[in-house]
Amino acid sequence: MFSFFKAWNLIRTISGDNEYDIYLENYLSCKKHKNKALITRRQFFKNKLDEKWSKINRCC
Amino acid sequence: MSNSIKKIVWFCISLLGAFAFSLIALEREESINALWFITAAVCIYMVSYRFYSAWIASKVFVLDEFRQTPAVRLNNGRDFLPTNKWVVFATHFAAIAGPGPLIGPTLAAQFGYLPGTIWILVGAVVGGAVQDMTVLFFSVRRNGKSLGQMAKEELGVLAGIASLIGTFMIMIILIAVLGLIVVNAMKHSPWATSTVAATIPIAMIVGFYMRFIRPGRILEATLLGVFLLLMAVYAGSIIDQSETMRVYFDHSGLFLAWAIIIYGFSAAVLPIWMLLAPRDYLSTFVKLGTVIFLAIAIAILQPEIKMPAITQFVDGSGPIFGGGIFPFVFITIACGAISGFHALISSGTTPKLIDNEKHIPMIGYGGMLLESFVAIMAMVAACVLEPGVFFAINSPAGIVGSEAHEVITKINSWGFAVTVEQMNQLADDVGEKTLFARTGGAPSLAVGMATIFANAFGKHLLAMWYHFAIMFEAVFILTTLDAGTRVGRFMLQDILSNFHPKLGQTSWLPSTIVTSGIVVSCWGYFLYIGVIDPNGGVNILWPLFGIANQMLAAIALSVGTAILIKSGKIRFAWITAIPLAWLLIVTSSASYQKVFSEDVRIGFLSAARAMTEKINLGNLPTKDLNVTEKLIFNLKLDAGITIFLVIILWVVIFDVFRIAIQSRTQRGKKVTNV
Repeated sequence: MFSFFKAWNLIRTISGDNEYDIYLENYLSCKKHKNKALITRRQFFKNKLDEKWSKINRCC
Repeated sequence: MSNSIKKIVWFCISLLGAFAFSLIALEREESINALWFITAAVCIYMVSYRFYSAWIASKVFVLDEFRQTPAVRLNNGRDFLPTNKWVVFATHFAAIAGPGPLIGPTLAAQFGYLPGTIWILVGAVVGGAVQDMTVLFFSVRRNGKSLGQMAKEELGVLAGIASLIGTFMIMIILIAVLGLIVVNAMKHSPWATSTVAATIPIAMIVGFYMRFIRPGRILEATLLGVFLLLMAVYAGSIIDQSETMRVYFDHSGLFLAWAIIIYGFSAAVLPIWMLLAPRDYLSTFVKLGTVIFLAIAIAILQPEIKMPAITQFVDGSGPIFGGGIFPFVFITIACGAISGFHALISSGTTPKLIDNEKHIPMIGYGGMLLESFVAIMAMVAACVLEPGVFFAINSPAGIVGSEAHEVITKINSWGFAVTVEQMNQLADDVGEKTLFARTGGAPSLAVGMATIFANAFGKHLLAMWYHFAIMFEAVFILTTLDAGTRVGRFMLQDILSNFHPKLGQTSWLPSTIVTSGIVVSCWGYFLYIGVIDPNGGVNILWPLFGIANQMLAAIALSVGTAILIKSGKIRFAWITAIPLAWLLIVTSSASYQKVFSEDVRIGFLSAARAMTEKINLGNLPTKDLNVTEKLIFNLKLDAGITIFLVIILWVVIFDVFRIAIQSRTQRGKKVTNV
């Protein structure tokens, strides 16, 4: 059955809106991240943009 | 569903597709409904995806859903990251679908609707989608290596360098031609210019919002931006009606070209979060929204196609660009059918996100089919216009004259009915002073889209829809311009680091300024020449872009063919070798004609000779002398670039032959893994 919650989550995932939430969830649940400092939402977003725009990712 | 029901369903889909396609191809007496284009395209895509891509996946590539992809194996939470297949599909599609599939079909409509439509459908199914899927698959199997790295490893150093040079050149020419299209759409149009100009501060507001006010809240920031963009379109109408304000936005092509050049430089050196990234979010949302909206509008309105199936311009005498149906329809439509640029995406970001090999057909093959569908819609939008109106908008003054009655007499002499009053009324309806000689494809596409939207959702809003369409085109053209300039800068910094390591540091400001300046100067030069060219510039730049793009596609297909041969799958090598052979024929013959044709509207050298003769005979007024000398230099430069591109292509092809011969002599030995 159609679920608005699922559709909203899909839109957030496709747009990248919930990337930080996913990172946070991973960080808190996964032991291998324990020795790395948690980064803020602002820093996470900045890193993401730097990574994204350092290569060809838009075409003709 | 049982097997026999499935077979019946697929048989019905195939039959419907064949019927719709034959109707488009054979109907000459009566006009065709645009819905048949959509039906033919959707059925052909479904059948090819279900059978051809599945066959390639299972028999040729032997995809293994239990094999770990680089995203899983090398997961670092940044570039290598297993990602939901729908997210990868959306990211991949947003990356490959730029303005190309909209502009190319619009320009190619000068041959009629049929040649372009056949090429978009057949080219995508047999060529473009296979190329994208093949490169994606081979890159996934090679830890996400780039096309350049694969070319170097599989074909040799020369091919690696060729792909690097090809990528850089294509970037420069692409940015120049896109800049020219935006300039032509804004020329002496205060409404369009003010709306496009407003996109810059709007992107910056969105950038500040996402960086400082609500970091990373992409959806709410983008919604705010889209709302402001719509307000900008409305505000443009107020500016246009105000005598005091409109003068600030009423500019010549040359002024706007310099403005774009300065903008391009600023965008390349400013921090990413400030302009480039927010503009990209806006453009992606506006692009997806408008394309879906256009498809719905076509389905509701079911417009009749007014353009003939084939026009007399298949002989090469067309006003928009010189050159016959063969090879120029295949050069003009690149991105909607097959585009080498896609190979850079398929071997860049996408392979590092794929969670499971079984997603490769959907993302690689399916993504290209969706882009091809966008091209079909652009073809429909161009062909619902009266042909006389279409040619009046797209024909440059250098071909049809600059006076309205001259243009109309010329177009009527071709057998297309249009009147001065009709054009004036249309210009008035869309809120423009004139629509004559608005070359580049963007204005006529905007008129076509606006007509469809207005008829489906409200006729009184035609001017608003037209300027919305111009804003929609400009927003993602400028995104490609920003992103292309930045990537060009990175490539140049990478090359220069071989001479001076510090120049390779992308965060070192002097290097950033110098390399951005060089890249902007390169495309700025072609943009400047395009603007001063009385034939509109698109006549030269678009075919050059097409040749460069198809050359890159040929390199990508060569890499695919070479890997198939080297891995002992020579009997399947035809899947890439057939489109490769076709591109080789098309690109070589187009290049030959562009350089050596005696027709001054096609051949660079003959056009340069004709201009030199004019100067020698003293037939030119002094004010035109300087421009003509620049055009002559540019024509010779374009001839040199074209010859260079063809040489690169043939070097790569000889490498493929060498590998094929080696493989025959070493029959039985498996040289490489797939």
